[in-house]
Amino acid sequence: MINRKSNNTQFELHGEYLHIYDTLTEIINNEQTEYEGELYVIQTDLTESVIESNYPTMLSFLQKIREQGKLCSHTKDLAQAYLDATDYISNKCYELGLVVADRYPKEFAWRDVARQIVREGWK
Amino acid sequence: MPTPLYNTDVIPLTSRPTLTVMDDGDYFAILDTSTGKISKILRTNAQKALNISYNNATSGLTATQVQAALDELVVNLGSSDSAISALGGRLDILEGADTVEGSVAKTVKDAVEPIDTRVTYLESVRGHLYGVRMQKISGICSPMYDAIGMTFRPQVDTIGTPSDFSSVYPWRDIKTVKVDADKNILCTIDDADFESTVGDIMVKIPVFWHRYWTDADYEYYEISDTPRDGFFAGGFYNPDGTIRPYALIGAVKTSNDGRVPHSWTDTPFTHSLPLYSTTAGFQLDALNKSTVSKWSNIDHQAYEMVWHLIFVEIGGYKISPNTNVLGFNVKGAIGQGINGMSNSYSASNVCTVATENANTFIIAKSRSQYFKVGMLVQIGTAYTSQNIAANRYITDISEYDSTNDVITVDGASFTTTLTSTIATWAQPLPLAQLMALKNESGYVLQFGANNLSHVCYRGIWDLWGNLYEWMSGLYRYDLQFYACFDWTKMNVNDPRGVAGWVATGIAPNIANDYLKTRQVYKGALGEIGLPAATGAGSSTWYAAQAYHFNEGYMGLRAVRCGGCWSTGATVGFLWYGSTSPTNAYVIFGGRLIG
Repeated sequence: MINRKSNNTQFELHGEYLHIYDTLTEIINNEQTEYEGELYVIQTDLTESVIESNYPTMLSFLQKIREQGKLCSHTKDLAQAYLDATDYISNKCYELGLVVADRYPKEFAWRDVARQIVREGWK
Repeated sequence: MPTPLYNTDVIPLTSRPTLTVMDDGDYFAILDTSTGKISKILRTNAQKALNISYNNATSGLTATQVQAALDELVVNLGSSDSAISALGGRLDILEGADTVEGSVAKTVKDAVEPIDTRVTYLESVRGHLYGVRMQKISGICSPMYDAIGMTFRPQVDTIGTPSDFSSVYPWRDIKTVKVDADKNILCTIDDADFESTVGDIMVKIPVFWHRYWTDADYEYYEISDTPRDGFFAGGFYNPDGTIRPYALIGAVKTSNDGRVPHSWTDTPFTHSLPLYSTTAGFQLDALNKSTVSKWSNIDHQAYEMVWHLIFVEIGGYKISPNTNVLGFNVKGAIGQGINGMSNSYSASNVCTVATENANTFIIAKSRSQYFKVGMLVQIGTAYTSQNIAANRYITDISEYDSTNDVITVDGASFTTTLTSTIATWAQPLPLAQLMALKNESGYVLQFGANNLSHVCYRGIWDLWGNLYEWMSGLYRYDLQFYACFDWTKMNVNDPRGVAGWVATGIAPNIANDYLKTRQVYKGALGEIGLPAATGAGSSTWYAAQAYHFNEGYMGLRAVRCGGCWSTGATVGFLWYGSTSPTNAYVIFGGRLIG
């Protein structure tokens, strides 16, 4: 969902909810500059420093999950939800005789990261 | 282990030479040598069925007697079949529908009906309470009380499955009507003569009681169909404190016939008129509309009342793909409203080839792309002017040459020069759209985009976008809000110390930004939610801007609401607090209430 706001911070913690943006576009509106981008909101119990160091990972996971029409409501489920949302890649490559690492290099790498987070949690 | 047969048990059946009956103590075994088949009957059952006593050692039964016993058994078994059939019939009755006498369903139904009647009575005493609360820190909303489990459903183009709230009071009884100048209801939107009846189109909202309150963590909006402690019938009070059975809210923004304000479809809205005036203004014109019945421009109490209905109804509506309700995002839940016309309202839309005594406007293709057939346009010496041709509908857009298009409009001919400008301002509401959605909520797509389309909340159109609405009865002087609850006393240019006006003691000094939280002022005749903090976004918390409620704008200020055709994603529950009530501009409009 597109959200417009007055700052260009790419992630914000509001209580137990994390707001994450990808690209924020500058909008000149009336009298002040605003920033607009796709907003992802997810519940979390992580600290700001953990979120900051994992921001690209979380954003990639959220984008893929939403792209696949899946839902994830809490960061504790995010890595598993990413794996679930990309399971189709394994099947597709198996059926078509493709190599996952070649056909989907980005997802292949992120799935490895996701598995590690599932095992060890966010750090 | 089965009991072995013994020769002494063989009972010859002389009447049936092919049958031999053997008795092993537990069973009668019947051998039919003609077929080679052996049948057996549990002896105790046969005895019970036959009601006979048989002692193998002493009975001396003849084949005739056994045959008779078997015949009796067959008869008895036949009786059992009848009994089973009878039971089957009884089962059919037990399993029958709730209209079948003797069925379980009917028995339960008959038992529940008096209980249901009792519950209905108790509910009528208890009333219904619908609510929503918004967590201040996150903006996350969740429904409360009887609103839990109810689903809001926006409509696009036509009415599909209605909102769940359409079946409960007060939403159920909200009805578009036409009224005469004295507010007599002439017909409702469901009547066959609605379209042909001459009158102001208003939305009749039945009285209800509501409450807005906050605690440290949440803001609460609650709606009740019965009076409750702490609740107000805000928007329904007469100045003497009596309660009207319903309120009338303009279905569309105000248009004028001379100095008489109306609520009409297919009519350009009134603009460039101040809120306060001693000669011609939104509040004064409304007050003068009738000598019999009182009218007003929309005031803070009507505004709060309508928005409380909205907040509660959409408070549980998750906008895909979110997993939570991120705030009161009416744009996402109901429709964007007309807010995307910034390119067609621009100084860049100048004439590229002059025309004389025609009803055409020639413009670069790079600019004509923002105009659509059916749009109402203004042609003037600037994009804020309509001094060449006012309120014309585009009837055609065609290619003029490789770089220009010609826009044709209806009405009389005019002359343009290379400094002439064409612009879209507020768009009138077509009657067909009002009829399409009646008293549901959503939009009818026009000009190919959601943010170019009128938006409807239960028959009230364009509460956000299209044209700002002045709010009557709420001023700000320096930072403090002043409020008036009597329509007849609202047309003033300084509220301080004026009879009928109260200083609220609330004086926010907040940055220009999207509204995050509100604070409540409680008066004798209602509550007003006033801005408390900003820092939200266009889709989060109140999902609209609160502009100029700070020390950069001191002195006398009025409030205008909703946003206009060019303000983009800022529209919604938007408050703009920097304008003097005597100002007039093309983006300032109003809405009648009665």
